[in-house]
Amino acid sequence: MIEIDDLSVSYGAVPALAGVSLTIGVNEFVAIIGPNGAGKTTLLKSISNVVTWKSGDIRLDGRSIRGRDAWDIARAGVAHVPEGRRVFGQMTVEENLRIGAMSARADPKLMQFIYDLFPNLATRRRSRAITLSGGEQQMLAIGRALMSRPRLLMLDEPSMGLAPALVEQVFAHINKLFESSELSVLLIEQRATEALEASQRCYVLERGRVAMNGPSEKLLMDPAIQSTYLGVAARG
Amino acid sequence: MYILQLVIAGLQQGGIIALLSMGLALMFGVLRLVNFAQADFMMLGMYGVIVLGAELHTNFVVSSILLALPAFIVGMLVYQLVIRQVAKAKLASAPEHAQLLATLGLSLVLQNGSEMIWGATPRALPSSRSLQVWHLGGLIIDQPRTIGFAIAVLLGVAMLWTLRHTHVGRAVRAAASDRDAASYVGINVRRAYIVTFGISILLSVIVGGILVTYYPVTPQTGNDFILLMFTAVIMGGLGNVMGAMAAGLILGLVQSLSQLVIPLQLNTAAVFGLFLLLMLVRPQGIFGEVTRL
Repeated sequence: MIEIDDLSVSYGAVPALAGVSLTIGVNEFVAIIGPNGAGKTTLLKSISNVVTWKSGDIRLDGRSIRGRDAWDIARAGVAHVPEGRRVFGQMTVEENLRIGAMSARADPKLMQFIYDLFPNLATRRRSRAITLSGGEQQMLAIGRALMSRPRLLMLDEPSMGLAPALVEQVFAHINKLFESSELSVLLIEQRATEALEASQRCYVLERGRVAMNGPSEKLLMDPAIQSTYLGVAARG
Repeated sequence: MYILQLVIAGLQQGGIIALLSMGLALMFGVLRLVNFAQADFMMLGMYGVIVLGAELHTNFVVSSILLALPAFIVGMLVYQLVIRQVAKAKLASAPEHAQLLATLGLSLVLQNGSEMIWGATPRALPSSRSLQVWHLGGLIIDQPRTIGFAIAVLLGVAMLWTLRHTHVGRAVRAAASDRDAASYVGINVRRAYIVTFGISILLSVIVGGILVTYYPVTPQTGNDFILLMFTAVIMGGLGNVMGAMAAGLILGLVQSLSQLVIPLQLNTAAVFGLFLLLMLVRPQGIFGEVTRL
């Protein structure tokens, strides 16, 4: 549903992405891993069209998104859960979720589904989002994105700043979601192991370029990946 | 009895400041824009009601209602044609600075434009109504001020309710809270900004319509209020609409009650004295929250 063609983005003179091409199919779980500053977040921002591209193209359902506004792309079914969660802190949990249901695609019955998925949110529905723990805020950010009944869920470092036990929980939820619905997922992670285990296909981004890509199972076994990203010492 | 009389006068004045400040706070909260021309739109509303009264013989309530839609549209146009263009033109290192200067320029244009049209002589509504009072026990209650206060409170509460309980209100608050995150959930942030600007200008114009019933207007009348408005917005907690409302009422009361202890001429000093004290004790404002980076 998304095709990215030779995309280049720079911040001033600093290149962030230099000729990245990738695809995300319908009902596919794609992960992007890579070190800090590799351009992962810039890639997601490009798909939401909040950064200006220098060259290349991004197509959604076969049509270029050049010139389309971020809100318009969101309403077309691309939900972006930004880095750092970015919940609306002064609004309640419930208000955050209702905001998520702005798009015409949204289904009001979804709220109960999200409360079932994240019971913590249900118990705190009247609390202001800023009072939630990091993990709960992450759940809320994902829940808010799901309220629009997206076709593509883009997650930017959902594990950031979370305790390991919570990270596991978040990934379990993402997997459950993916398996139970007609949803494509684009996951950006520094935690390569979890990302590779959860996803079907993976791209490795390094200094703005795709260094490697392939089925996640295969990358998980790749010695170069293991030594760089998985913390497995190369043998011999 | 004298004190009660002062409280009533203070609330009446405070209601006006409250509604004015709410518009300013909304604009700052959502657009991060400090609008120096806010009170000048109030001044335009005052002239508008005088002109409509002379041409159509409508009273100030009807005139204000007639002015509401044009005010909303003018507000949206000003945002589209001035504020947004300035931000886009990258005239300063930060777009906020350029917008700030643009509103200052707008203020000058509005004041001098009004002087060109209506001259510098103070004008007032020619009705005898501004002298009508109710006698309640020993109290003398000024009619236009009371009606004006009621309208101001109604509008203020309506605005708070809209922000809290409607779709549009939630979208505006979300856009205020986090522009990018709001667009990621499908909120048209630009439209939210335009509507906010329009509503904020509408509020100013309506306040002008109320105020002109007892306060004569000159092209510079806005200057009498703009400092009080900013004081109320900061006291309430920057960008907090409810805080601005509360602070506006408090300012009116302080201005009025201060004459119990200090000479009347010093009532403005009392307001800013209180402001300084509050900033020392609670720099984030009454309803403001400390944000840590």
